[in-house]
Amino acid sequence: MSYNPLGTFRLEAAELLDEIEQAALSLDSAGWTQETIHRLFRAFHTIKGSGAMCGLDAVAGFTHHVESLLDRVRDGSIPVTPELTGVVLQARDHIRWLLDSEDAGGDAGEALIALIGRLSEDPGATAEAVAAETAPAVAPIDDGEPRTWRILFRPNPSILLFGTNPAALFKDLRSLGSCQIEAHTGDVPPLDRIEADHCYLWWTVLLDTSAEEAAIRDVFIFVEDDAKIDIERVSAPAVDAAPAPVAGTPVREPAPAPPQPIPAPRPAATPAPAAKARESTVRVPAERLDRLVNLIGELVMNQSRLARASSEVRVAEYTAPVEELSRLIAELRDHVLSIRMLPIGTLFGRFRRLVHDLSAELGKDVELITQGAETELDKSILDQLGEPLVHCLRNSLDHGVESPDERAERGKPRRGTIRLTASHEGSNVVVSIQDDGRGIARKAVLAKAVEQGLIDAGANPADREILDMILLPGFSTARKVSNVSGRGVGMDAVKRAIENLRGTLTLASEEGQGTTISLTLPLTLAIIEGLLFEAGGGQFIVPMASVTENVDLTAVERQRGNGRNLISVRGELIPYIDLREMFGIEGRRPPVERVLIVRHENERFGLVVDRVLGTHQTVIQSLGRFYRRVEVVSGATIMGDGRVALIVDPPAIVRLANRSRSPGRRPERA
Amino acid sequence: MKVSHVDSEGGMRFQIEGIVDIRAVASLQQSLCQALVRGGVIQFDLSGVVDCDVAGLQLMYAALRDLRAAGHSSERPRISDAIRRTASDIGLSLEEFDSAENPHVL
Repeated sequence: MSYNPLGTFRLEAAELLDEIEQAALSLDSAGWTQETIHRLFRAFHTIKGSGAMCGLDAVAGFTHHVESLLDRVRDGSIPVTPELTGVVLQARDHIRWLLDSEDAGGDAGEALIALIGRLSEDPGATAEAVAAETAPAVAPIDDGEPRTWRILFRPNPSILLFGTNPAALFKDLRSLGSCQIEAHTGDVPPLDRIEADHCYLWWTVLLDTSAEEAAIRDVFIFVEDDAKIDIERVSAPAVDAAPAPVAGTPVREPAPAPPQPIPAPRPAATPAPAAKARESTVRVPAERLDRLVNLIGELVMNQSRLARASSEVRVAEYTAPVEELSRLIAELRDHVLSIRMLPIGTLFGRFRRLVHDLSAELGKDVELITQGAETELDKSILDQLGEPLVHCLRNSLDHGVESPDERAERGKPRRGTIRLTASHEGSNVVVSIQDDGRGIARKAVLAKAVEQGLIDAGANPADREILDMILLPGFSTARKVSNVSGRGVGMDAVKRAIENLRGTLTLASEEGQGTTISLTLPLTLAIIEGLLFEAGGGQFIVPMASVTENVDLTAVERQRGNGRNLISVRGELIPYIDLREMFGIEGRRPPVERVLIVRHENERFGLVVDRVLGTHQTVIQSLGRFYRRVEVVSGATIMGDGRVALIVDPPAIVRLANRSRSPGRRPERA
Repeated sequence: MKVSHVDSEGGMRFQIEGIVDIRAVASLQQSLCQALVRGGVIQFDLSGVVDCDVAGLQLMYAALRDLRAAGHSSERPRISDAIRRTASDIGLSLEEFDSAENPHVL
């Protein structure tokens, strides 16, 4: 794969824009510090510099304005206000748009530049002026007071490898004022031990300039993670006022006088931890990981075939190597799957902006608190989790959390809270969206259900059934439809999306206190622990995570149920679904069948099968397009003997069974 | 970059021409190590170096320092403007190259 600097810049810019968004949003809270402003400045500065290097002049030109604005915030000339936050967020969005569209920005860019200019008290700012100013020179801030600075610059040895040229940094320093640069050679190893791409030199610089410290730091902004940089002010000017040498001009004999000794620098430290962390990570395209996971899947299947063949030929010499191979492949599988695991915080981060913008739009004051951002999920699940979570948050913001005045009337804090949390529960991850709003009004739900003909007027459903009505297609109790939510197309779509991820959605709500939506998700979709069973000669797999136990079902017990498909398990009556019946499988049943007790949405139900064969490491293969419409099957896997086993989807089986039992409908078959 | 050395009576003339940058360092390092192993009087001619960078400069610095430490002798080296310019840019004193106390250096 060839190196693509523009592609790399786009990836880095996307990360920087996320960082900008988080930093900008934190300006709204009391928790921001001067470092927050520095972070914003550095991120915009990096986008500007790298954008210019990649030829994205529109990006560089626009970003220059934001950078100038932040520079004034940094030196205290402009205060941090909600307006500033808004402008920074808009600027961030505009840069993203510029990156996506490769457009020059047009009117939107001009309008934003004008707004930035107004904030900067520089109403004359225009795009043309930007283009002229985008030259990378570092402008001294001349306040008429020259100062002397001592700078220690000790780069990470690998800095040359990344294309950094220390001479270019010193050239920028010279543009700020008079410089006295001294290279230290004490770390240069013997000739035969020199690594060609390592930098062993380090430097001390005395700089006389009227520029602020921030301007000096800006010179090192692209190397600050790869170097130790100390900048401190010393009392008196130490460098002659002679003009700084101009780079590119040969220095004639006699050779320049040796530099004056510079006061001893502070002891050198190891490179910044951030630099080490960056070196220890590698950016890999997602499709390569997907390919790796697919290969592991094939390896697991072939290992299964090998193990089966080995057990059939019964050659003693094969046993130990095959077992060792199984162990190694299991370890390899776990490692490869773990590579694709990403912290859910990568998803949470973007919701802060959503809550910020929607709160403003709805006239509400809402704080988003996230917990468990480090909880990891498979990337393929994270990719599909964003939209359902957006739906949930929009619902909480629109219908859950009250307006500040309404909250005050109810004795609640004017500021509402939405908690977005993630945690491990066994082999699952539970993501919860909890608000402290008005909760779900049961009476309104019942009235709507009656109006829609879902229940009779005098019906008295259980609390759980009332809450679950929210999840029905087209159901909404919102008094008015807004562009945020209220069309009733949200929560059933969320439920379906979560079930497509082999997860479940549950609701809990207390009127006046708030609502909690809990999404229970598997850690991965690629390989699962399954329970293999047989029905009518065919082999099937059910995800082990949803099976709680399995029990016998005799012909006598069937008769005792009198056609009501209920089995008693330790005194609890559990409804069961006959898979032979559902799948249309003919033939003689075994005298004793098995019932797999499966949990779905806090309810237990049984799946009647012929016999249980045992657990199975299941590599999930997607079904071809001809089978995609088979609702109750979520995938397939290839067994050790080459046969295909279908993976059944318990929630889909329940849905199908419920539809079949609906009055006036004929029983459906899968 | 081009490296050549001509044996002379009791020593060697070691000439470097072209660009001495990070890409040239590995091969130059090998040649310099061989020259150091050989010993004797070494006369360096760097007047043909048209450009160099930090990696190249620090390699040449290491060569002359090790030469000095090994007790070899050399005549004063001939240094190009490009080397002087880069050394000046990064604050590397030409004393390091051109020590009057150590006339055998470069």
